[in-house]
Amino acid sequence: MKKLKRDIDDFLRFLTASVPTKEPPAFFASKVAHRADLERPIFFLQLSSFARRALPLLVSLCFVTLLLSYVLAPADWENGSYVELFVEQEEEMEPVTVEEVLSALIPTDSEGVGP
Amino acid sequence: MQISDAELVAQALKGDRGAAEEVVSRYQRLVFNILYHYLGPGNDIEDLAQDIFLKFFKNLERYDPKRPLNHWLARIASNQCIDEIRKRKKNPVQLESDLEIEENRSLEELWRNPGPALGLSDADAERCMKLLQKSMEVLSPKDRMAFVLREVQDLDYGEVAAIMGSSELAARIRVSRARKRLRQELEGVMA
Repeated sequence: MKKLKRDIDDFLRFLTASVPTKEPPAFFASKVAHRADLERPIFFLQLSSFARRALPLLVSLCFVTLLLSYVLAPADWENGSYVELFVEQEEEMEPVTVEEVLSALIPTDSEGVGP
Repeated sequence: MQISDAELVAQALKGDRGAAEEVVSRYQRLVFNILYHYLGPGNDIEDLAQDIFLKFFKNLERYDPKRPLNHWLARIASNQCIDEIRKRKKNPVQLESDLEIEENRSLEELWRNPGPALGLSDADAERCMKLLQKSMEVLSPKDRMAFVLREVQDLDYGEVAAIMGSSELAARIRVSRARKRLRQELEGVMA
């Protein structure tokens, strides 16, 4: 039995020592280096992982805000009041007296029609 | 003078393609042979090796220059192999045909009476590989990896432990357990 165990151990050693090796194909290294170069992360992917996760969230948030502002206030957009929001409001006129109206309507001497 | 691994990695991180190519050239045989000896022939070793190196370059900034680069690459390769074998274990294992049994017997003959020829023929080496692969199917993925690294790749226990992320004792236990199971498997072949 002991002999058999040693025999099996020897056979196992024979097997492990006899297995062939695998040679990498020619140009494998340059092929891999080229692919790794192509797959290098571009500038925003080089941000920290937090920034990488936050960026799409921020873009989505902007999109949703824009969409909501359109959905919730369509009349403002359609009536053009959206534009008015940006027009400076005119100053209100002060109350006008009767004398002021009359004096505005009756021509004065300087206009050459006086009595 | 050969440039150190740490310097090569630093240059590769700056986008130097030549440095990246040199890293691959240095360690491609290691990666290919871990894959080949663990998974056996008939697998797309080149594609898997390429994936391993791409994973390595993607995580290059996490490399600790105090640790050997070959251990890190071997670890990525080892994890990839274990994932592959787990996927494959879901498929039914082929039964040994009568022809294979005959082939195994003749391998045993070859071992008992090696003859005057130096070394094995390619066909015999291939048969050794097939028999070893077949026998290793009974091992757990990690025991199998420990055995391949120690007995086929001829690494010491410290290296096996570093690659597998375990203690040296755990590596020794895995290899010894694998040997015991393989002995039982081969007993059937030699009977």
